[in-house]
Order: sequence, then structure tokens, then C-alpha cells
Amino acid sequence: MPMAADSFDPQAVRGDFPSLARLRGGKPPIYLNNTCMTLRPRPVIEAITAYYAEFPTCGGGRLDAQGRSSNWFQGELHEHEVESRRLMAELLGAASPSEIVWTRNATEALNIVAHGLQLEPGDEVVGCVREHNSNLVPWLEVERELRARAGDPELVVRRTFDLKPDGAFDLAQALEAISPRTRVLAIGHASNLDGTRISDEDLKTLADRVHAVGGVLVLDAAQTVPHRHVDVQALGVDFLACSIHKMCGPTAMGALYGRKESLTALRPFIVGGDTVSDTWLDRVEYKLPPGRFEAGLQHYAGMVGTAAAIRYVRDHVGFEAIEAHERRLNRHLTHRLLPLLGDHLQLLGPVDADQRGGVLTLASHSGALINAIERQADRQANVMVRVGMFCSNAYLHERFDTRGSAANNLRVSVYFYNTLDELDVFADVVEGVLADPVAAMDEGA
Amino acid sequence: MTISHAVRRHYAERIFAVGGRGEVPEAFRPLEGDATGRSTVEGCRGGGKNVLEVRVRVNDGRVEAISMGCNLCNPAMYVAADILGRWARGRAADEILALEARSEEVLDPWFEALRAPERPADAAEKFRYTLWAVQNALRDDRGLPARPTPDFDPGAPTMGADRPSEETV
Ligand SMILES: Cc1ncc(COP(=O)(O)O)c(C=O)c1O
Repeated sequence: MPMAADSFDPQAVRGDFPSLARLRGGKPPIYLNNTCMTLRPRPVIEAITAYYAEFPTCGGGRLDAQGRSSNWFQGELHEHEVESRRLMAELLGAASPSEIVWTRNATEALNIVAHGLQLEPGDEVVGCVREHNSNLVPWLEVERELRARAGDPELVVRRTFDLKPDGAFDLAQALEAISPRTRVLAIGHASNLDGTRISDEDLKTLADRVHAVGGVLVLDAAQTVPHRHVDVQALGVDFLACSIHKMCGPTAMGALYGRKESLTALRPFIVGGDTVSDTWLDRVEYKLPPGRFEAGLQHYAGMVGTAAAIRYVRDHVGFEAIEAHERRLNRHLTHRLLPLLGDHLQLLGPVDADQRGGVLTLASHSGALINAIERQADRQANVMVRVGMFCSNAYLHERFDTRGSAANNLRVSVYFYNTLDELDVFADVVEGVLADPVAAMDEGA
Repeated sequence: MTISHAVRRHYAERIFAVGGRGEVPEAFRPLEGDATGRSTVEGCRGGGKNVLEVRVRVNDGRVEAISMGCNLCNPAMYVAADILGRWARGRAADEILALEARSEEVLDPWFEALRAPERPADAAEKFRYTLWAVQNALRDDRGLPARPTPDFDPGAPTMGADRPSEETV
């Protein structure tokens, strides 16, 4: 039974996270870098360990006519593999577990799609100006290849649409970018930079439009699947990429969802052992999806851990509680920080916390100030945040180079185990630094 | 390295105090018009976050415009970029390219601009990195490859000795 949204108390789950019980200088960690990677609860750690301790073998063994594995350890692993893929399919609302491909992360999933679609010169890929590098670079590579093939260095492959001035998604501009040439709409569901998200309604409209011109919708859902219920069929998504390490799961574990027909039409990208049903010296017969996309031996501990992560996040905590709690946290942090903002520190994205999920990013003309906040947060209070460009270089350059550097940003991102008190500690640090910024820059510079 | 008094004073008065919402100190404003040369230098030992970007526009052999971008730099790097930005503007590219970044005398005009006869080590290190970056931007303007950045950290055991020797421009 998931926890109640209105009365969710993070204290009910914090005991499950061994890393939160650590102390440095007598103080616990305050982990606010969840957009990058989350902490892991004990059930996930135990599931990963169980693989190594109990059945540390390779998957993909031959099954007999009854679908049983040929030996003891492989049999146990096989059951876990089947169950984790079933859970992942269920989590995303896929029609079948065979629509789920295991990957190392969202990045690999997006590469499989970009390189597998076999676009032709003249085809266009639409995305917004703020795609994460993982949903930009693979398409730029496709663009480069198509330009070389067409012998036209100016050939337009990737078309971008802009956002609203405050960074929020703008349906009108997105729709305008879709044309009969659009083969792919590849967009981020929620931004890791400022937390803004495309609403379900807008996403469905986009899916309809791109399908109407014969294209596919590729959703980079790295920042939504861990935080809310995402239903690929209801939304009309053809491909979806996500990272399990952003939802309490094992590091270097991700998933690609592909609608059966779409996945079958993809050309396998990384190939070799385990992707084929048979080979001859001069030809190869690939397995049906998803097998043809999972090359070589796999992250089996990751699969076992993924099942535990889904059970923990979805079934034990629950997305309603997660969304409600993140909203509560971000409203509180925004409320604390807004009065501190001014000439030297600004907020990226909409002021309204409810539009930014669990993300709050501060930007400055001064990298030294951002460094000082990060350092003081860590040294004084064990607060871990992230600074830099957050793989959004292109967008930051485009929009914010006017402030002297696009890199001078600090991001706070929360998850369900964070508390209001933790955010107060961070806000106190910011307040302290702003009281005498130049002195604060001195500390350990 | 702690921040020296001279760096703190310059940063507080000439950079931080004049920066703000939509206001960026002169040396850090985007280049007006196109750049003819660009470079990046990592000014932190061990590949830290201090990354300085330099854009120049050379016209008739002189630096017509120069813009510094400080990516998560510390105050000393800002100060060095500010001072060298002003110093380089209008100067002949040949003159800048001929300077030896490791020499002591090369720092003289910049310490003067910093009003720091005590020649603080934090500023010296970043002056050298900044000069290196400016020189690489000028090399880029001439279609020459960037030279790999030496280790200018005063605490480092081999001041750039492990780096390939430089070709002359
Ligand atoms: C929006 C978005 N897309 C893609 C990724 C890439 O995820 P990964 O590094 O796990 O592949 C991230 C990671 O931060 C992200 O935030």
C-alpha cells in the first residue's frame, strides 16, 4: 500500500537509507542532488547483494520446452529477470514486457533510438532549445552523418523550438516546429535544469500531431519516471528513455521503452553476443526485441535491484506521496530563498515552485559566489548540491552568456526522503554567504 | 591557497560590486560582433571547475575586442581576467604572443594594475593562466592549434616541465 499523500512524513522512510545514517563532524548528510542520482534504500541494496551472493551467473541461458532454465543459478536469475522486466513494463504502462530494453542509462536508450531509426536526408528531428545533452548529442551525430551522406553541410536535420521566456514549455511553438518532414519529436518530459515539465495534455497533443505527419515521439523521461506516474500508452509515446539510478535503483541501470512496432523497426545499434538467434560466416539473424538490443552479458544485479526499486518507490512510497512531498519541499525552499535573491543571485525557471517539480536552480553573474555557496554548504553542513551547466550547455549559452558565464549555476533537487529542516539548513547557508559574499569566497578558495 | 588581500580588494570593488542582475563587469560582457579567435583554459590544478573562456577579435594585427567568460572561477581568476582583459585591448597580437608566461617580469604591469607590490601568489598563478588563454585565442585567430596548458600552480613540483616544449609562433 503506498503512503498517503497528504500526511506523508519522510521520517517514515529515512531509516531505510543507510547513507542517511552516516555522520561527518557529528552531522548527517543532506543530500540535495537527486536529479543526478538518488540514494538507495536497504531493500535495493539487499536485492543487488542477493544476486552476487546467491546466483551470480549469466542470464540468457537456454530454456527447455517448459520455459525452465537448464541449471540452478540460471533458473533463479531467470525468474528475477522476468519479474523485473514485467515490473518495468507495468510501471510505464507498456503493453508487454518485450517492449522494455535494459540499458545502462537514459543516454544509452536515446542513442539506441537515434542510431536505430535509420533516418534519411530530408527527415527532420524536432526538439526544444533546452534538451539535455543526452537528448541532443545523439541527434547532432545523426545530423552530421546525414549531412555527410547528402554532401550538404547545411542540411537541416535537427529543428529546435523555443520555450516561454521563463523557461516553461510552449505548446504553440512546439507544434509550429512539426512539419511533414518531421520523423522524430525527441523531447525532455521534465527539465533537469529548472524542473519545468510538459503537461500530459500537451504531450498528448504533441503525440497526435507527430503521428499525423508519420513521425514518432521519443520522450526523455529521465526526470519524470522517478517522480510521477508515466503511462506510455495513455500519452501516445513511441519510445521512452529513463534511468533507474534516478529512482533509488542500481547505478548504471536504465530502460528503453519502445512500442512493439517501433522497436521492431529499429536497427540494432550495439550488436554481438546475446543479440542474435543465430550467425553464419556471412550473415546474422537477430533475436526479436528486446533481446537484439541487449548486447553482451548484462547488468543482472541491476535488473534484480530494479525490481526492488520499483517496489519501493511505486508500491511502498507511492507517486502521489512523492509528488505532494516534493511540492511541499520546493514551495518551502522557494519561500525561504526568494527574499534572498537580488542582484547577485537569481532563480532559473518560473518563480512558481509548483511549476518546477523538485528542482530549484540559482544562477549568478559570479562563479565565485556559486562556488562559495557550494563549498560552505558542504563544509558547514554536509549539504550536497550540484553546480555547473547540468548538461544543458547549449541552452545556457544561448540564453545566459550575457551574465558573463553560462556555467555559474547551483542546483538543489529533492526527493521524497528530504525534509523541510534540511532545506532550512541550506537556506541558512545561502543567507550566511550573502551576508558577506567576498569573505565567504575566502574559505578554502 | 587563501585569497590575498589585493585580490579580495580588486574583486570586491571592481568586479562583484559592479556585477548584478543584467550587469556584468566590462571585461566579462559578451563580445560585440564576431570573435576571430577563442580559447579555453582550465585554471585549476587537477581539472577543477575554474574554466576561463576567452574570445578575441583581431583587426589589423591588434586586439580590437576581447571578452572573458569565467565558468565557476575563483576570485583570483576573475581578477586576472579583468586585468588582462583591459590590458590586452588595443595591444598588438604579436606583442602578446611573444610574452613568456613563466617569466617573472611578464607579471609587472598586472601587479601594478592590481596595486599589489607584494606580488601575491594567487594572482601570479591566475595571471599566467589568463595570459596562456589569451595567447591561445590569438593563435586560434591565426589558425594555429592551442598549446596545452602547463601547470602554473606555485605548489606544483614541476612548473610545467612535464609539458611538451612550446613551438614559437
Ligand atoms: C533530462 C535528462 N535526460 C537524460 C539524462 C541522462 O541520464 P543518464 O546520465 O542516467 O543517462 C539526464 C540525467 O541527468 C536528465 O536529467
